[in-house]
Amino acid sequence: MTPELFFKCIALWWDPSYASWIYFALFLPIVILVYNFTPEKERFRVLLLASWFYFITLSGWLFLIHILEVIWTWQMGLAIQRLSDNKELKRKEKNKRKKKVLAVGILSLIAVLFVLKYLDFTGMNIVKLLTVFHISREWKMLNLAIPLGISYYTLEAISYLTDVYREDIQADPSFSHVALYMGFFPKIVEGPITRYGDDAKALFSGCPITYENLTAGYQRIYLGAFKKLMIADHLAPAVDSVFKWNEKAGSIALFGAVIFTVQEYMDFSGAIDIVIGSAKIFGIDLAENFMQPFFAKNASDFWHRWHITLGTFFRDYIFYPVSVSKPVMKLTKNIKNLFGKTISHFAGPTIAIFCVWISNGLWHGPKWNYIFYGMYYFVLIFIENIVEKPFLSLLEKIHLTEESISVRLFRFIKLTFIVLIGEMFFRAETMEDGFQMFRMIFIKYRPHKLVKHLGSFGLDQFDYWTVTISFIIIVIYGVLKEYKYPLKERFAALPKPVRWAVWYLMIIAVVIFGAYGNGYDKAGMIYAKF
Amino acid sequence: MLKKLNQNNSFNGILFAVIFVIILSILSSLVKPDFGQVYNIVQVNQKLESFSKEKENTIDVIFAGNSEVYSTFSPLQLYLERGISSYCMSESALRLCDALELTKASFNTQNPKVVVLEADAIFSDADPHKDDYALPTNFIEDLFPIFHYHIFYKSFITKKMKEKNQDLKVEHPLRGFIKTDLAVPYTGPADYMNREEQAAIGEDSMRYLERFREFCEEKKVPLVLTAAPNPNSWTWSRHNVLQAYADKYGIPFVDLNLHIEDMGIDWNVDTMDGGNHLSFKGSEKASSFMGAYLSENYKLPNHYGEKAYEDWERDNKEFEVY
Repeated sequence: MTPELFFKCIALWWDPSYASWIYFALFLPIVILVYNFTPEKERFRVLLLASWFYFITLSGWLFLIHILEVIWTWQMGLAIQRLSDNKELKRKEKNKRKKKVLAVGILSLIAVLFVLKYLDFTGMNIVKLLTVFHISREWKMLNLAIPLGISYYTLEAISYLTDVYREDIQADPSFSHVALYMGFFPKIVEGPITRYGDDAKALFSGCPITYENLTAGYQRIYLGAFKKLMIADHLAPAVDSVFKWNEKAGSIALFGAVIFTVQEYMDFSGAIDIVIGSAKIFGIDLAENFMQPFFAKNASDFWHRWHITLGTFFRDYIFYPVSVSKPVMKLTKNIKNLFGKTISHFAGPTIAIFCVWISNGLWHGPKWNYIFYGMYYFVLIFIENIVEKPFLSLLEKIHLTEESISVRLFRFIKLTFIVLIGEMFFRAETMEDGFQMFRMIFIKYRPHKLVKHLGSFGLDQFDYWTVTISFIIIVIYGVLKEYKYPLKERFAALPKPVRWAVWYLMIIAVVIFGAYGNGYDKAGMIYAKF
Repeated sequence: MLKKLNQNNSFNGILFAVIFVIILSILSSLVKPDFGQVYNIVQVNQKLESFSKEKENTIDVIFAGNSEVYSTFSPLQLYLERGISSYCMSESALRLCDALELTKASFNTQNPKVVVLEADAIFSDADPHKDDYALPTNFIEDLFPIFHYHIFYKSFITKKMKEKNQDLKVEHPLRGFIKTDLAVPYTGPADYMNREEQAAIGEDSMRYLERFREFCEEKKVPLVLTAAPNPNSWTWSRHNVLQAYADKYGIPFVDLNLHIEDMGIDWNVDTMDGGNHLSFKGSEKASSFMGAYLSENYKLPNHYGEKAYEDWERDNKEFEVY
């Protein structure tokens, strides 16, 4: 057997992506068993070894980069802690030194992320910019390999160091603890981006496996697998086909925006369900990342419900620090003197929001589409902040409230359109394609083109039906959850044979109608690439 | 086993799993095909359903393989030109394992006198498992075939759906051949076979090729190997590998790529997609060539005008093929 063949065997043998049976029916049960047989105090080591095994099988030697970053974060945390604990230093001097260590710690982590993820993009754009000045240079693409989940664990490391700096938490003297926090296998691929202060206790306590946690965890895993295999992975070939943009019609562009939005939501929130379910089995309650985002009243609220942990990270580690930073405070003061109080109120938050959204766009990856996507939401949320008060006054004048059905319907339609257009630019192959698709929706809608090509997007009638019915089920589930209907309690009150029959039906439905195995190309996890 | 799981909960868990395994086993026995293991059960079922419409013992030649077959050999043309009755047992990207089962099944109702196997399927994935090396997944699929054949339901296409799908609608009348108006020229070099390649027949392909050969020997039906004109993938290396196999067992090998000039193939109009498949015009030339070869080398009856073949002529007129 050649080495090439050997690695091919391993790669195919071992496919632990979250929606693969290898993950939830082989890898996870083995970890659960070993974990439970291990003494309580040592259980976190089982989770750590499982996480490293998982990481190495997916990322190979890039694991070394991860480990180096963990060591760095651990040591920098301890360095900050030592300064905090130093009673000989004066407060001002102590803060100054702590700030310096924090800056070195964070900038080093960002530098690694920048080199691995953004260097080619930056180099290429600098070369393009130089051509404007008639300077001809060539950028040789480095195409560096990126460790699994680097965008997620880098933010976790930043939050850890900042929280130690702020003295919200104590730096952990245990390397294993920091390593597990930054590399816990369920959340390493797609987040959620958690805080050390929230996770630590449960992560390291070695909570025993209980029947309640085991069943609740696997039920949540089922929900995630349902979303991914019944909806997201079915839609994957159609999304790829539409965004190749061979058939230029507005109806097809809008269709593409709709199916990509559905695919992305089901893929990402499905993966997060599997992540949260997996952690739940070990008694760890990870932060939720989604909260029925399409029930949001506006774009700002949408981001309080969509990729929540990324939003709260930006809020706590970019928005607040930027808002109260010296240059911004000074600028606000100057604006107040020049233009008055009302405008100055907007200045600080607007600068901070701009920093948040440029970071959001860049975090997704080195692509102009993502930067545009961030700026798109910056502009929309800025406008929303301005018009919200006049809008509420208008409602009052026409005797409507925010809860009126017509107002909620208007907001739902507006938000849906905003999200769809945003996702269309986000997924478009190039910015030119994005603008062309957007233009076509208004100029050349051509609905007949969509009808004609519906069968040529890689989905047959059965796939469309599977996606539609599954989508309706998830929407109903979301509505019940939003209105806090006690579905779990009602279901638990049913006789056991009925409950079991329902579960068998639901599992068999995924076994039969899921997009996996023969007849389907394996679809990756969308947010794993960020 | 798990410390905090009390006996009752453990029993419940085990019972739930046991019932689930029973359900999987029942479903597996229901969906597992009567014939051997195949890769794409939907394609195989659809082809068998289409083939079942042929009157018994009316097909003399079976063309087996993937899309190269149904775009190259036209049974209606062979019938009109030489009275040869044939059928394209082929589907898009059909694997060799599926082609074998389709060929075997054709002998249940027909009495073929020649089996022609096209080479592209031999140089492609041949195993019923999606990934040959995904051992745990393949093990589970073999244990519970419901996971392997879970798309079985896609075979249950309603009549209305079939009428909407042009390919399915005309598949039977054209005897498996697919007619297309597409023509995208091949613009590469004329001596495409000189392209460098270290071709080899894969382990799985060899296993199924051997089964093909053994099956034909068992049925005492000559097996003919052929390679459709394909400037994008066919090379001397592939030719030599297959020729060596053919020589070893004394199997005739008709490589159409060696007869491009004899057939009069014009790559500007005779390929539908830049060289991967022949266009309708190209298929006319290749079918004529293959018809002449079959007539010269095998005693195939001329069925032209026979009553049992009235529908062949009717279908030709109805679908305005020739």
